[in-house]
Amino acid sequence: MDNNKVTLTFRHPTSSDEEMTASVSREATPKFLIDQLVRSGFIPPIGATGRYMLRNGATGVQLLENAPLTAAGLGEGGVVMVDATMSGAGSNGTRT
Amino acid sequence: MNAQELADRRRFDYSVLMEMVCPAFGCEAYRDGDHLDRRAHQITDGVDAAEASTFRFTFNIPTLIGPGRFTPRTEIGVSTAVTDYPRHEPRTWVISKDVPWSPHFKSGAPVCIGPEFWRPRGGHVTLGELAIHLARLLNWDEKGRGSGYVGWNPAAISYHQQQYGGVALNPRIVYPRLPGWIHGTSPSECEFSIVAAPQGTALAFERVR
Repeated sequence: MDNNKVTLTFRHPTSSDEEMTASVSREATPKFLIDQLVRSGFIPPIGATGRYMLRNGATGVQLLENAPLTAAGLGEGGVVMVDATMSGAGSNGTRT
Repeated sequence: MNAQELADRRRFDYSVLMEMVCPAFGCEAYRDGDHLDRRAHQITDGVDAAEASTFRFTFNIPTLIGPGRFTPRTEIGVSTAVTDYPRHEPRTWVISKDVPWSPHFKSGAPVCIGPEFWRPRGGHVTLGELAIHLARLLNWDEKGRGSGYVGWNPAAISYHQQQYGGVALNPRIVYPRLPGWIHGTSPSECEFSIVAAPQGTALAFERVR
């Protein structure tokens, strides 16, 4: 096993039964991971009025955007919730 | 995947592979197996990359071809001209006269890349990752498959275990690497390799700078 990487399962923000599993660097940040999830087509690009955030599925703690996974307590086999937040009227996500 | 999407994917594959060429790995691109066999009409620039479906991978990685016997180089053919590529894995075969003495290689048969390597990723895997995987197989440095795997050659597994203690033949081999732009992070060491993706996930393969 490569100790520099962990396998994580990402849970879709609106379809909770949809998951993507990926092997990622421990140094990866939520910002990097969200970019990759969008690029892979798992989640759609989000407009200027919204943003994605990641949350540790085991603890419920939100991950800091530019902090590496090592700082978030996520280990091998961890589950990451993808949350979509929207601001403004007419959004279909969580109002902020 | 329609014809335009397949053409885009082939351009993407070509672009990835050509940037991975290194002392341990060489790659030639062709339109079909006949051209590959004759080393004719090799595709050498991006203009024709949409037609590049067949590749000759050359690995300058010493590998066993029998007990205590090595070959310094192995050539492997790879064809993406298969139904439902890239969701279906490409076809692979050993071109070299000497077939690696390994559970993954057998004369006249596809390379056993493992059921977990391609299909569960739903097409979110590139020929570049396949090149790295094959390089590791040749160096007996496979990632991910646990003990107990027998494959096509239990005698070779037993020999490797006895002579090398189950570790890589040459731990100093520098494997080919994916270009930095594939993750959208040029100098970063960060990696994001999809292991399993939901069916129907859009396959967006594009070069980003």
